[in-house]
Amino acid sequence: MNYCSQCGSQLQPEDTSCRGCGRAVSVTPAAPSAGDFGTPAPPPPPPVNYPPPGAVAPMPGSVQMEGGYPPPPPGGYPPPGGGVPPPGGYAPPGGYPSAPPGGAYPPGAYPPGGGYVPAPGAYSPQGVLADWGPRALGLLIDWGLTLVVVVPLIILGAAVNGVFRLLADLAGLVIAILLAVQVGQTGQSPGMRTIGLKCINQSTGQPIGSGLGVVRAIAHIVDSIICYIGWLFPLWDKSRQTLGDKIMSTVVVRVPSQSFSLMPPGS
Amino acid sequence: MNALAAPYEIDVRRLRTPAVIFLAGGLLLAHLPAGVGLPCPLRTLTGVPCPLCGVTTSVRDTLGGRVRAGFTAAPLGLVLIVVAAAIAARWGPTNVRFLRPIVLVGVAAEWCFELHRFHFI
Repeated sequence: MNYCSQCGSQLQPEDTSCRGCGRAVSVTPAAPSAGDFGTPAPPPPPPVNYPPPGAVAPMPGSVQMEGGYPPPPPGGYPPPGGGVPPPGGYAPPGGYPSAPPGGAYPPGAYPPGGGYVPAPGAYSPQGVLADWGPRALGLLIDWGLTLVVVVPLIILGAAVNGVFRLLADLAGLVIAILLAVQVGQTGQSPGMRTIGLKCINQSTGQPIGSGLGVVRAIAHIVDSIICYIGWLFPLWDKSRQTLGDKIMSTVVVRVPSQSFSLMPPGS
Repeated sequence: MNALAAPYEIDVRRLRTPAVIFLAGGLLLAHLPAGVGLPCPLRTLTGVPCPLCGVTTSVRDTLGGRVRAGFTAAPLGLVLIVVAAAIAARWGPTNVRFLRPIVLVGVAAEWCFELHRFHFI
C-alpha cells in the first residue's frame, strides 16, 4: 500500500494525484515485509484513527504483528492532546474520582454524553450542596423556635399589656441576631444542625464569621423583597444558592445531622 | 461583567415537582376567595409593585378560566403556567441555558408592565 508523502493519505494504485491534498502522486514505497528491518518511511499522520494512548504508532506499510494492539474502538482512539471525544466519552487520566457520598459529579465536569449519567444533586469542592427541601425544613425549625418565644408575647401584648407586644418585637430581633451569629460562627443554626446543613464560604469552605453571619441574614431581605422569589432560587440554581447566598458568596452543604440543640455542641 | 455574560444553566428535571406543586396550588387558588396569598414585601413597604407582583392573580385567574384577566394582571403568569405544564409533562429539554441579559430584559419588561398597571408610569 502506498501513501502520499505530503499528507499521508492512502493512495490507490491507479491514483495520479492524492485524494487528500491534491498533490501529484509522489508515493512512499510500501514497507518491506515482516522481518525486513530496513529504514522505514517517515510516519505520516494516520487519517482517521490514532494509536491507543501510550502505544507506539506503527509505520505505514508495516505488517501488524500478531499480538499487536487491538483494533481501534468505533470512532477511533482519542487524538493525543485533545480532540472531539466519541459519543461514549473517555475516562480522564487516572480514571474517574469516586463519587461523593450521596451526591453526583459536578455538572459539566466530564464530556457530555460520556461515561456516566449525572445524578440529581450537586457537588461543590466543599461537599454535597443542600437542596431546597432540607434548607426549607431547617428554616422552618428556626422559625418555629422563634415563634415559640414570640407568639406568647404577642398574645400577652393583646390581652394584658402593650409592653409585651414591644417585647415580642425585641425578642424576635434578638433571636434572629443570635441565630445569624451562630450560622456565622459555626455554619449552623439549630434547625440546620438538626437537618444536617452547614453554611460555608464557597471559596474557603469555612464558616463566614459572626459579623458576616449577621450581614448574610440582612442580605436575605433581597430574597424576600421581590415576592419571595429569592428563597426559591435553590430550586433551580446550579449552586443551590439564594440571592442572599450569592451576595455573600456562601453555599449550604450537607453534613451529618445532630440532635436538636439550641447552642452548638461544646459551647 | 463576566458573571453577567456567562449563561445561566437550569436542570429542568429538578423543577418537575415544584412545577406540579405550582399548578396544583394555582388550581386550588382559583377556587379560594380573592386576596389569599402572601403580600409582596416591596409593595407593602413602599407601595411600589415588584416585577413579580400580579403573578399570583394572573395564575389564579388563568387557571380559573379567565385567561384575559390573567394576562392583564401579569403576562408572566401565563408564561409560567405554560412552562410549568411543559415541565410537569416532561416535555422539552432537560437542561436549559439562559443568557442572563435576556432574563434581565424580560424581568424589566414585566416590571414596566406592573408599574404601568399600578399607574406609576
